[in-house]
Amino acid sequence: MVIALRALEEASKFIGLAREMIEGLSQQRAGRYRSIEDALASNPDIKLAVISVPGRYVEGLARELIERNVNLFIFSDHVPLEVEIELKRKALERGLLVMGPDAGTSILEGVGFGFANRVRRGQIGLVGSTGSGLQEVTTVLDGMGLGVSNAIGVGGRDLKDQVGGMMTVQALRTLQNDPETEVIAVISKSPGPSAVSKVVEFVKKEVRKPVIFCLLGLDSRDLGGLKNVPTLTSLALELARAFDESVAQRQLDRFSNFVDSVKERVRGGDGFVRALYCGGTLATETIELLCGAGLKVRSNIEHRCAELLRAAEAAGHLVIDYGAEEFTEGRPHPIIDPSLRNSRASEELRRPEVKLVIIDVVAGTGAPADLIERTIKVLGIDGLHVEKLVVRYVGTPSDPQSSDLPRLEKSGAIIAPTNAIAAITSVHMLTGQTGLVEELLMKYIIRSGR
Amino acid sequence: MIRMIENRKVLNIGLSLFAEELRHQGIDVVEVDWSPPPEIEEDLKDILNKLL
Repeated sequence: MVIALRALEEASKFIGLAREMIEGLSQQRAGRYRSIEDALASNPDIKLAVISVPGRYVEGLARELIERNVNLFIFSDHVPLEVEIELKRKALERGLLVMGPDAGTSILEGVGFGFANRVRRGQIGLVGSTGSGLQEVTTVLDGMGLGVSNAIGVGGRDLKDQVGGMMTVQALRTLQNDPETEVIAVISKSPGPSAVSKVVEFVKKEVRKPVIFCLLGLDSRDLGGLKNVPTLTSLALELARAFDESVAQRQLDRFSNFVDSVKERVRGGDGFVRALYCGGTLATETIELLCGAGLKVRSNIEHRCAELLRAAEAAGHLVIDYGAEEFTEGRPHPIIDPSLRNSRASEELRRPEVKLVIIDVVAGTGAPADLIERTIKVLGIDGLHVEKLVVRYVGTPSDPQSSDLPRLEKSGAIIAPTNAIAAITSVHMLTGQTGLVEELLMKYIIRSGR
Repeated sequence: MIRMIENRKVLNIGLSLFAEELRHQGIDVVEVDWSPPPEIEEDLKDILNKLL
């Protein structure tokens, strides 16, 4: 009996061991683990984690990862501000980067995180408290043959005064130490003045590489002698100038030719613009340009020169950000699923008082493979000749969605080379004032970078 | 080189879409199965706290 019992004990031990081995193997095979502890125990070389769980659950996961010295890319929004501040403080103590919460985009060592386009690698480093802003600039650079070393998205609130630009500074430190980065750009929308001061102070003291700012929505453009340009397009041109003036000039000529071609094709006249965006920074940039043209703009984005409204309203010149938290609670981000925005665009295209509709079509990782086909279908523009639709296609020839681009071009939609050029083109379509368009081109695109 | 993904390995918690996109770019993605913790009513939580 004693022997039998011992044999049973041994057998159950072996069965247990075998089960553990099988479970362990299957976990390894699938690359899935039940806990962070298990995952990092088996993969101690991991230095970066992506978190995209609902915002209220981020804190515990992020804290555990920071305590284990893992850098973070937090896509989740709806994370309380005080949690963001605390996580970033803890990360700084350990010299870690926390990209996010609400980080839309990063490109690290050629790999895209969140929503990112397939762009060339190169010597330009970017820091952005904006996802769509980073996508816009990196794709425009790619179109000029210029590449990116790293584009670090630090989350939409990093340059709010409460957060104080903690991760903008950390990202600048990272790019300063990155031998591949030769020139640095900092992009933000509506930053807080005290956070901006901290970043400017850091740049002056610690950064030995050229830094160019594009801080949309900042009341004062004076950064104590540092360069601050007014649009994402002018930023891309200024970055190009750092390498080759003639590249920037050729691109400027292309922009002018594009605006001239629209002037020939579409007569300016009365009516309203409905600018409906997936990317919040693109929406902010369009508000700035329309306000700069003297138009009275209404938006769901808080902006010093736009009247705040509910997004469902339809009156006057509107700029709506469909990536705002009011639209993403319990719904995928519009870059993943743009159907809500596209339905609205379809309605607006058919309103007689609407002269033109601007939309962004954002390609790259995270966006659906059939993005363009879906957009054409929902907008109902296939086979029509639509001269009231202006599209900023945020993508590069290497993005998988770009093979469908000819279909969008065939629809008759006006496909602008950049978002700022889309907005300036829309001013021509709304007013027909050639002088005003020239003035905007000069102020926001041509002269700004010099 | 900013030494965060030099070993081409990343941990993903949440949307599998992002894990797939990283795998397409040649990244070895390790995933943690995550689901929201069960919601417990506040009064039930109080009772449990008293009992335990």
